[in-house]
Amino acid sequence: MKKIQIPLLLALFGLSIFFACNNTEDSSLISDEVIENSDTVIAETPNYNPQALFKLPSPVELFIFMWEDGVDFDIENINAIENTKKYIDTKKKALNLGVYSADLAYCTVYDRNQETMNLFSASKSIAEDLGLTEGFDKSILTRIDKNLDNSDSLYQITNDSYSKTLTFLQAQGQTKILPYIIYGGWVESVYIATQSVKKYKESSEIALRISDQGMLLDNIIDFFVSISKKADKEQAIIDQLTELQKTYDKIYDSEKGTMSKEYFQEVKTQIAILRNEIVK
Amino acid sequence: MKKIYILAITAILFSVSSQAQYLRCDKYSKYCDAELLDFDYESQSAFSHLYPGDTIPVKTVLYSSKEYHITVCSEYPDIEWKIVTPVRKTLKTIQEIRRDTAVTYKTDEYGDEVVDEETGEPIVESREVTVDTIWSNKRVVEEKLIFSSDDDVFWKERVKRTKRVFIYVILPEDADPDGACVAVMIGRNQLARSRFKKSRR
Repeated sequence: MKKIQIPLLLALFGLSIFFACNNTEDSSLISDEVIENSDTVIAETPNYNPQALFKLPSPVELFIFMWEDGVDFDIENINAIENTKKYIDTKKKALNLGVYSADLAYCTVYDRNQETMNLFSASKSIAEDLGLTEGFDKSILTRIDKNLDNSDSLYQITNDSYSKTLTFLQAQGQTKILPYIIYGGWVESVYIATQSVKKYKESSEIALRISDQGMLLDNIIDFFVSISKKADKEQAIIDQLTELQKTYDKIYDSEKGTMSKEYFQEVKTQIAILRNEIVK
Repeated sequence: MKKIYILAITAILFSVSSQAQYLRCDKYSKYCDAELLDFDYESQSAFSHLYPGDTIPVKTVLYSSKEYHITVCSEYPDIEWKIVTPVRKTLKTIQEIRRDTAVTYKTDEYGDEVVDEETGEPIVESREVTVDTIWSNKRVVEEKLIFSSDDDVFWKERVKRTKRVFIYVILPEDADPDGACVAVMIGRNQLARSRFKKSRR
């Protein structure tokens, strides 16, 4: 069979968990021997799928869910524009392009025009540094302006832009930055969502949507696992995300299958750590 | 106006995926057997080029309360595809049993070990055996079929509960040796257009 020339993407179907517990209830006495049983559970190697494409719903969708649910906007939740100058290396720029893009989407959904324009400038600046000008060129913007009343055309233009961006990235050999942009954007969107919850209610729409993010997390981990075969430097991110995944696993395995206040706090704390590490 | 413009730019940034090598295949919706509905196909659709015998999974997430329309279009008319949803399970199996024995010797009233007069060895009073069972707690994923192209040319459903789906696309062995482009069209009931349809609470 002739093989296509693509980077083979490996998918992680499952991650094992490691924990230990002692069970002394099973103790029994045989003759003069006291038998004490204890259980230790250890991790198993994850399974990999050698070829896959990963697609995530946009953070815009999460913000629209929030907007519809009546969650208030909070300017404190977005990354400061002044931070852009702190991001020197490519990885940091890519991560924070994702962050600012999520912030941009957040402000757009909530009609914060001034912040939106500021964030657009910040995103554009980082994107240009990364060589992503193809996705931001004037001809695309002109086409968007001319088709504002036609959603189908707008989406088509967006798709063309996307293709141009990818072509440019591919030509420049910069496809490695893609997962970082996605990761940064996802973390920022979940950060904003968790920080926006002032009084947690398990049955609320936003609680449901934050709980849903565990499935997006699975996809992101799969994506990073696929590229980590080529460069082990992604392992630190995978390890951090796997820790977060354990919390989501507890939610899935819980009796109700919904996110309790305790688990919400865990997710909120872990996401804040990841986000602060990205934007610092 | 600016808002839509910014949303479009944002969509560009978040649409990126691992499919960069298949740009020549990104316009293959024209080969769709199923009619493309008034859905948003741009943000989650995927494109690829397959050779005979190849299978490619597209992994994505479908949000609850949203309606989705999924179909696969290809130059090769008899492209095979299916949608499965992963069902997480935890398997607990014994990996190892460790036995540790703690021996207690008989002592006299002063706490000294009593020795067997014949062998000279301390007399065993009891043996406590600790058995530590090492369990392997493996997170596994079983795939549940929710659609096959044998049944229809599209899958359309309002998703009740957010789910991860894997869409497997298979180009049969008897296809053109040069392969074929495939487009996995994942349409969601309009995001931008429905955005403010639903009133804010």
